[in-house]
Amino acid sequence: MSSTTIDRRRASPAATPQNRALVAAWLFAVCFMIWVMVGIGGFTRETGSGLSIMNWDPIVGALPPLSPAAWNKLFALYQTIPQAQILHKGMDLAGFQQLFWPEYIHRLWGRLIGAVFFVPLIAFIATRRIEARLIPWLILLFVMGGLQGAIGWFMVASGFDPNSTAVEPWRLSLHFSAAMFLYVSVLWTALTVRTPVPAPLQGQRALKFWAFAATILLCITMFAGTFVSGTHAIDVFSPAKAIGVGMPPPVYAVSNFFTDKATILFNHQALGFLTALTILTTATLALRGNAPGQVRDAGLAIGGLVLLQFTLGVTALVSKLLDVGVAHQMNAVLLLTACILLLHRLRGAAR
Amino acid sequence: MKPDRAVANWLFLLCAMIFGMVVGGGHARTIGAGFILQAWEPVTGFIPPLNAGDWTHLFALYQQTAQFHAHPITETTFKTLFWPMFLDRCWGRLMALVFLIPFVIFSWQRRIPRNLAFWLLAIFAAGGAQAAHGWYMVRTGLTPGVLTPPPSWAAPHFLAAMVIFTALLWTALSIRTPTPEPLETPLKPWLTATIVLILATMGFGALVAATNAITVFNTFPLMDGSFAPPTLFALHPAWENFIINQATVQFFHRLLATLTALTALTAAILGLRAENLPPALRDNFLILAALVALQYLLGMATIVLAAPELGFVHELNAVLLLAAAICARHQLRGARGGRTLISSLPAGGPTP
Repeated sequence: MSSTTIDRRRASPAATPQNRALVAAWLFAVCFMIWVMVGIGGFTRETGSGLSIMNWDPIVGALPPLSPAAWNKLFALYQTIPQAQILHKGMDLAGFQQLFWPEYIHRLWGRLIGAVFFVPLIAFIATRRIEARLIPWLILLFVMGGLQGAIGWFMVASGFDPNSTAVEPWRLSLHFSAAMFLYVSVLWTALTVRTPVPAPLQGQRALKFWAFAATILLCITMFAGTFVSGTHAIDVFSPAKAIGVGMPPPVYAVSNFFTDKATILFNHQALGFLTALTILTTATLALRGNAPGQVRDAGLAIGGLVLLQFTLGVTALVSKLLDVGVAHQMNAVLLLTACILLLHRLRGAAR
Repeated sequence: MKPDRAVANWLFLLCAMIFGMVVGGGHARTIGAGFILQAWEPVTGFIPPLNAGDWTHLFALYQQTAQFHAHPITETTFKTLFWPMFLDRCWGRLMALVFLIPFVIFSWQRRIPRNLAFWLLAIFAAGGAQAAHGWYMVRTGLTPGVLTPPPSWAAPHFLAAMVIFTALLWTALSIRTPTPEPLETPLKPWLTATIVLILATMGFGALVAATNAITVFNTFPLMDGSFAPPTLFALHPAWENFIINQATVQFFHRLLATLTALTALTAAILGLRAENLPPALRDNFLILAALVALQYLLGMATIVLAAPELGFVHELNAVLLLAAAICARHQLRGARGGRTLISSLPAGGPTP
């Protein structure tokens, strides 16, 4: 980046420190809401309630059923899908309502994120608080958010197939991966709005390489993790049969990577182990080197969070407690956040 | 006072030998050889059985134990169990020599001040007491109904070894670095708490091993579905639960382990974020954090898989963790005051 570009950006009336702080805070709030969304989504999957709403009305759907008639209509609709007939034979309306709320809240929270993104965006544009060059990008992010809702519906629709009691793992994976892509985009934008000019760093290129490798590996591990959750691969964990204790299954083939539970579990574990080692190496390099305090703090964050993540993963596995699995999933996003933060603070290392 | 590296290294060697002793003792326990050698000749005992008559004699002594009556074994099995226990005891005799010979030489060279000499002799006496305590623990095998070394004997044996280890390591470090470096940091109490908690957790760990509590509650994080098992205080009087009740000792081992891990990690985070700490100390905090995380994971794996071999590794890593905490605490001897939380950090790395 030439110094004239920086000067022009600084000169832009929209880019006063106050405006940048405001826009960054708004985008961080959106990031936080997406993180909460990951938790709600995990809870929805945990309670198996993802299929309890059979239609998608992006606007009107914000209203829950308000009368007994509306409830009965929804319940009757639910009873027609295979999951209801296979898993929930004889379920009463109260049982259905219990199933309904997590999915409803998940969708409502999505709408809320859309509103929290859209309304301030318009207000900031109208009051000229956002630099002009950012506007198309932010609109694109908003469209991606809408797309995320559509992907969610695309996923849910796969759960209504004959003999199906859950959504297709591939579509679940797509839904989560797209969410993470969106999350990282918003986070990076927020960080860059807050600190537009990278501080030049001497001698941190090796660390930057490690941080980059760690982030890529983390993304791959998280992708593999979506299949563990999508196929409920944790069910096959059994120390007695040596499944899920770190050894590849007897038949280990690429064709099984996304279908066989033991293979899925092993892949996620092996990747998780490799990622943990890479992140710990990165953290050690950051903490032992002569990096500035901000970089060291980010290194400490990735180190601490990866230890927690590994422990949560093992705990989720051995306890088969789905709550722990959701915590593991939410902590993965925190770990990703810390990796992105480290990378962002190392931007100036290339120069 | 000038550092005497040779004296320091001699004591470091003894620390390493205590670690070796934990390896031997832990192994003997894991294979169930604790009662196998029912004879103790402190000096001449280093001579192994040389002929069939010796073997018959030793085997006959073992046949008096309750363990043998409950689970009779052949002389061949006896021999395979005998050697680890025999080596463990020889290791103890070797440690006494490695202590005494250099001690005499260094004293003759006037390299050991009077106070230090008394202190080292006290540590040596504690080592001798450990041997005697070990022997009486072995003798409990003759009591009817006592099938394995009782927890009330085994846990103090291990904990005393760790206290001796702590004292010896601290002494060695102080001889190597006699003058404390003045530091401005509030970390000292965190490290003291970490060491105390590690020792307490190790004590309960020894009870878990001695009561064979690894065979129950093979779940994590809950203990068979509940945070605290209902049989926590099943025995009367209540204090007995803290020695022989598998549920109680395992529960408190878990609880203290979690507390220890949180304390050690907090200490490490504060240490890694602190201002102007020497790079060696920062490395020490990294090692502390890594070992405590590894230790926690090993503990989880051990209990879930009910694997005594992993428990053995877990035991050895505990000693390394203790050593890391002691080293960090030692480097902080000269520390005082300072702020706990700081918002901005200086650049790290070795000071130019």
